[in-house]
Amino acid sequence: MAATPSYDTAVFMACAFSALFLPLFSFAVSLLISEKYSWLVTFTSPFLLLLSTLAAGVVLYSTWNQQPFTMTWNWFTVAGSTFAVGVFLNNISALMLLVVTLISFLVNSYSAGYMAGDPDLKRYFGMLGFFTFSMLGIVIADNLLLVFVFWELVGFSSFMLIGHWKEKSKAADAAKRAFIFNRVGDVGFLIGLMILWAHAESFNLITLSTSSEALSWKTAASLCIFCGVIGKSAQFPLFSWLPDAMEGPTPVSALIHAATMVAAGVFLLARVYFLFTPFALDFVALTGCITALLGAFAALAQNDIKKILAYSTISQLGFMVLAAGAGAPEAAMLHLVTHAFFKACLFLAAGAVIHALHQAQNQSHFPFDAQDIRHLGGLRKKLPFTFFVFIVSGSALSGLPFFSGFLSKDAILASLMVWKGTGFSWRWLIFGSAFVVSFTTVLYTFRLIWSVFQGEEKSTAHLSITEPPLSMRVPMTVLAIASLWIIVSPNPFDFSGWIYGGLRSNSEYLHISAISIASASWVLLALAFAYLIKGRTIRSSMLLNAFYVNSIYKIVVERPLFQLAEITARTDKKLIDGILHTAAYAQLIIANVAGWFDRAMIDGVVDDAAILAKGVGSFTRSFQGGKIQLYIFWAIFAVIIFIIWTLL
Amino acid sequence: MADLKDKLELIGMSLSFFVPELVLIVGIILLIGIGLRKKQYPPLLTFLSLLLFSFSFLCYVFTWRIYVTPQKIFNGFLRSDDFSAFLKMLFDVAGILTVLMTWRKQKEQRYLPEYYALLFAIVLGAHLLVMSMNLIMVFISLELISISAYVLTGFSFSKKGAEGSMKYFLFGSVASAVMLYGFSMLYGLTGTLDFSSAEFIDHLLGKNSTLFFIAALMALAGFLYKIAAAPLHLWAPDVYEAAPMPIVAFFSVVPKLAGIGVLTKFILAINIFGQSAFDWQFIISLVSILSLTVGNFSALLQKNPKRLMAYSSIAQSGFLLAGVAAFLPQGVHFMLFYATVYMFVNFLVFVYLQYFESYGFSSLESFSGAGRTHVWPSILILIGFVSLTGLPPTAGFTAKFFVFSSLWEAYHLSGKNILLWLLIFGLLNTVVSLFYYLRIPYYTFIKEAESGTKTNFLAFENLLGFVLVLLVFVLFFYPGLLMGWINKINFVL
Repeated sequence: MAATPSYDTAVFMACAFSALFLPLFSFAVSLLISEKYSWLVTFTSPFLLLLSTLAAGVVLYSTWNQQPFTMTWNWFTVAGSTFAVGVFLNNISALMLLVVTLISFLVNSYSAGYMAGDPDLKRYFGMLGFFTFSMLGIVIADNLLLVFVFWELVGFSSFMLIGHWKEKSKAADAAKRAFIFNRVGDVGFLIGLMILWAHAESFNLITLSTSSEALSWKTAASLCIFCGVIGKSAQFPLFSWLPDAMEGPTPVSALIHAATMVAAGVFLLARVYFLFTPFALDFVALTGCITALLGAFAALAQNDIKKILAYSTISQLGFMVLAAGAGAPEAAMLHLVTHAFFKACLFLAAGAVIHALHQAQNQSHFPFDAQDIRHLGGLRKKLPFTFFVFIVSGSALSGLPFFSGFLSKDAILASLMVWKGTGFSWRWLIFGSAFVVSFTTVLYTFRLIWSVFQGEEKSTAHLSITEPPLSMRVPMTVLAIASLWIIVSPNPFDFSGWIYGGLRSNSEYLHISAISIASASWVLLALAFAYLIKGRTIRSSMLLNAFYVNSIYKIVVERPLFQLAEITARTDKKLIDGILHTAAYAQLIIANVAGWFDRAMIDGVVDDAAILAKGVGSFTRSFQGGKIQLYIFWAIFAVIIFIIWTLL
Repeated sequence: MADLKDKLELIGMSLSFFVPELVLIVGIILLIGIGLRKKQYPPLLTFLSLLLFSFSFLCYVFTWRIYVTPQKIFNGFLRSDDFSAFLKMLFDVAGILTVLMTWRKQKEQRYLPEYYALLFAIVLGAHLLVMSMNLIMVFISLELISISAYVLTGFSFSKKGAEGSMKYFLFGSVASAVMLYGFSMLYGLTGTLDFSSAEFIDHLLGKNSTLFFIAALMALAGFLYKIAAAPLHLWAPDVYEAAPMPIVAFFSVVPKLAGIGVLTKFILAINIFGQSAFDWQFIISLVSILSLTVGNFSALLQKNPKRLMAYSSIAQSGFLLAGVAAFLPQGVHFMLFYATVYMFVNFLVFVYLQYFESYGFSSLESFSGAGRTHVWPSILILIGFVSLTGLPPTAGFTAKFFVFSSLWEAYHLSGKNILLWLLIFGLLNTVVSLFYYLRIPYYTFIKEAESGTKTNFLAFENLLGFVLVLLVFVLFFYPGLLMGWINKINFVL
């Protein structure tokens, strides 16, 4: 890394801050614009986000492989401790900055087509802007307290956007659920911050990263912070909110619940990686592995397009967390970036299918659930463009060679290979599981594409379906192109390109050709197998319900909680209210006695005082008869009295 | 010839300390000159007055340095020092505020040039009074204030105005006569008119006669009349009720503070550094207690806001005197702080009383329901009344707190029971004052009335009131801003 920045600091800062604040400005514009011109936001928001993206591009170009950029201001001082706010831009955050703004821009312009005619465009685009701002806040903040603040803001905007169609009770419930699940994780995060403050007395990332000794409190702190990651990145056991969050508009799912917000957990892991002790990392890896397996199998049995993608997201996030736990945060980040593009692309493509079907339904008044793949099929001819996009991004998800997903998955597998060591241990199991996940991923992706686009048309046969508008197709195209191998590295079989090289702290070469070959042939094998079974559905209610985690919650958490609530309510009614009633009666009696005393004794005194005051007043005023002769008389009289009194 | 040259040099030197007063004199001449013309332009007159008052005020601000060291001018008739300079600044600010209050009524006010000229005359008189070191000068400046005030009282040109003016004149004449008699006896006793001179004090030291006490008390009576302290307060309610509202606001500040200023010096002279055989501290404390009690209790059942404020101003004189009664340098400092706060708050209240009067709210009952139709004026006048009562978070609290703390200290130093009594009466009267000060807010906010139309809240009065309220709050939260300055003032006889 260069010792001094080779860029113009003023321009750089202007770019960094415009990247951060333009989305907030977009939020403000969307809120302030009058209801009459609310269609304007479909132009202003994408435009502002485009500017933000360009600024982020300049930032990335300037800081990449340069000295990290830092800047701090004092925020407030409590009891002698000063809390600062600041910006910390290194390779990871600059990369993330561009990813977030770019996808946000694409989703904004996609939404212009997707949400056309929605009655509440202002709120929708406003919250998209607000979300982007909060997400960028997480990315560039230089201390964990500030990260936590934006973390919560992100959760809030996610809540608002999931529940955008608030008149749908399912959407409202899902929003509430997502919020509560995230709260559970955030409690852990908050405790982690407290532990951190108690021991290190600093939230600053740079300060924290320089203290290197491994201590037991670090294990505790990092595991607590990881709780926040579990909540936000939908890891086991707090993942079940994510499939429900699919009730929100599809572009929102693409932006928040696939590409950016849920990836914030992984980003945080990479950002505070130095805090994690070996024990904590093992725990992280295990959690990631369980989540990856769980998500992948659950995705096999889903019937809703978006739910398949949601479980796939959970599985891929588990994969990233696994990589971070296995000591390769840079591999996790690489996968995060590639996943952000192809998963956003998949969601947008799914959204295009849903949008096209809804448009067609509106014309023919022929109701069916457009998201249920059991009703779909054979759409290849009617939606060739969407089909093509689906194929590209699906291949990237499956990890087929020549696509970005292959390379990033390769990076993870290579690091797992090193991590598992040579002697046999439980880590071998995890390494094996990674391959199982990779296999399953191909199966469910194939099943999804096959049942939507191949075969014969079912419910859609009589509908005239047209491709979505240009404003939706362009973002999809951009994201599809970004799903190719070329964004990672020029060599389609070597992941160590510019991103990986920039993320790795030490430039140790980790590419293992054996893994690439094994992975490629394994995926092709899976593809062949998938073609063989032709996307047959596994009818397992255990998988459909994601291993009944939700039901277990119902039994283990919800029911006892309700019972406890009932017990406390009853106690409150019987015991506490009883005591209160008794106390109230006692008080009433005392009050009556006191009241009598007050009336008879105190009021008497007060009345007398009032009468006295009145009396004094009328006495002092009595000199004020209005006759000037009397005035003068009294004045002289008083002076004489003074003289006599003092002299005698 | 050399004698004449010395004299001219002396006058020249004196005039350099006399610039603001010269400005005021020029103002009087200009205004009367304009008044001779047939057609006048009220805004021009108002603007001119504003300009001249501001100029006089800014003279002190920008040349504060030259007033810091005491300097006898005009053969010892006057003395320029920072104590008087501070008070003079207050008078100028009061003049500015009075002109601003008149702004609204400038079209209706008859004889506007004379009105402003008389205002200038009073401010000039107040300037001279606080600078006077000579009994003749005291008398002349006091009469300059009084005679101008008699005329101004009648400027509502109604029967009531004429009656008030007449009463004021008669009462004032008697008070002046009594004071002049006292002065003449003091001259006879000491052989000098300069009450700060060593001669004056030397002669009094030897003579602990009854005659001295009577003479000094009679002279004091004149000052007490000017500041409307009991028992010479009787003129105040009638005069306040009769005069136009800006004039009432002006009367309750400028002559009062001028009287207090000269009284503070005079009382030090006749106390002869504590060597006097008579307990002047006792007299002042007694007057203070009387004023507090008479003012507050009489105000309780008033129905007219102006009369209420008249009694309030009598009570406030008591508080100002309590600062003097401590007989400590610190007490004088706190008195100056109290005076400053009192001036701002008083104008705040009167600005809105005038505002409400213009909407026909002339008795306390008529304020019912005004809180709904005149939201901002009602809130701001409430703050004014709260500050007059002396409750936090307003500067009125800080001022009262300062005065009471200096009284407590004085009690500790001297152990005189009368000071403790004054303290107790002051506290009790603060409670009593709560009842009448909050009566107007009680009517505006609690009492219901048929709702009228809402008024424009961007009135000129609200801007002025807002600035004053801001001052009231700022002086509560940062009393050091003002106290730091006042503490540098060196009060000497």
